[in-house]
Amino acid sequence: MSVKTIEQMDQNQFETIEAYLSERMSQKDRAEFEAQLESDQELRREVEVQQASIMAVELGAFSRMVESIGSDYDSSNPSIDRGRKGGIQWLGIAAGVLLLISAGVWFLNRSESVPSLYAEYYETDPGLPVVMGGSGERDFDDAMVDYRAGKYVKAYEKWSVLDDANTNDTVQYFMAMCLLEQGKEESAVEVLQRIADSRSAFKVKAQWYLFLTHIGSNDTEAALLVSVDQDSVYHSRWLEVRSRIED
Amino acid sequence: MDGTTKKNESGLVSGLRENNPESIKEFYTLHFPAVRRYVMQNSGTSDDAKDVFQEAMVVMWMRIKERRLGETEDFNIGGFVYRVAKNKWLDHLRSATHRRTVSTMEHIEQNGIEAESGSEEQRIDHLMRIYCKLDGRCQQVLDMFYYEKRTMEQIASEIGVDVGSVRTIKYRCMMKLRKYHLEQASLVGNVREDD
Repeated sequence: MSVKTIEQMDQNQFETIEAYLSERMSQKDRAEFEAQLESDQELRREVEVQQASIMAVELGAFSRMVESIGSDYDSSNPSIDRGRKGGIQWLGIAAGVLLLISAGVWFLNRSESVPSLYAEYYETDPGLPVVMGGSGERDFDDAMVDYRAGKYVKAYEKWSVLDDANTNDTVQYFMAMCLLEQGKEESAVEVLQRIADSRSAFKVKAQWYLFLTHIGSNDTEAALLVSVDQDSVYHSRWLEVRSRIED
Repeated sequence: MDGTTKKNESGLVSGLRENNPESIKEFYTLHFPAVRRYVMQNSGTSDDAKDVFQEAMVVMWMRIKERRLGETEDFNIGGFVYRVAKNKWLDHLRSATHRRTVSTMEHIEQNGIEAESGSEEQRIDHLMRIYCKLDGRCQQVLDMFYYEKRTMEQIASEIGVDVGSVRTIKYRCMMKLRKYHLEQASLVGNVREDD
């Protein structure tokens, strides 16, 4: 099959590409099609365009569904917004509406789960400043540039080469941050625990992130075992979260 | 993350990948309150929170679809959406309208999610634009086939035509999308050349 212009895309060609993309081709046809893809640039482009068109349809339908869920959510929680913007509006409203408020309050409390506290309090550690051409550790700084650009996998790889004996607390701390950013909480906990138990300059931060990570994993028991040292901004946040859990 | 949470999260990821309405609803109900609280505590309204949360959900869904997210068992998708939504809100606050108040904000982040999301947002915007150009009939048929994964027979019965007609309608509608896509791409190309 050779596709040259917009006008020459006939229905059979379209359906062949569709069968390929939706994995409905026999093994033999697939092998032939892929061989053709190797040598036919126009065909490769057509496959990409069709893939984008399918994604456009799914995206459009998904967005519409999310909007509709959002509207349903709003109408089933009428008290949330108004309550925050001006509680006085509620004065004098009849008993039937009060029932709705109670339902809204119940829902608000119900949905403020422990893991959602994690989401609320978690903030990406911005990393350390890097002075280009500075006299610091070049390899460390190089990984820090990746970290600050959000390339956590790359930064993690570079740091793990730099500290294969796991002895540098700064490197270890930022490797844990990379793991958290990648959603690998379980692996991060191990490293954070080590730093939290040490005399590292990153001790308090490690305690805070360890505490939060347990919260995110819905492990309140483990979280309550972590304390964050005083005289730090993290200490007051820790107290705040603790009191919200205990409420 | 305990076993139950892991199972729930991984169930949610596969449900989202399959466009399961119940999973989408469950995710929304579970994770919207934290975003709403954050936005409302930082000069926004519940509607603002809804906007950034829904946009963040689209980013998450697209990455899950393309298997760029949620591939590892311990991935926290709720935390991901929260961070994307938060960055979007901070970005909004940094815009001209709010420039004056920005200095009072406690944290303005410049992290990976935001840095990565520029081109991703453009791509989402492009795909949404071409989809919105389709007429209602095309959207209906294509949604049923590609999003809801219904069979040609089911679609034919739903819209009251025969299977052959559904096949033709689908082809024509996809050709419209293809045309819009190529037009838009060449438009962007021309603008870049002018630059």
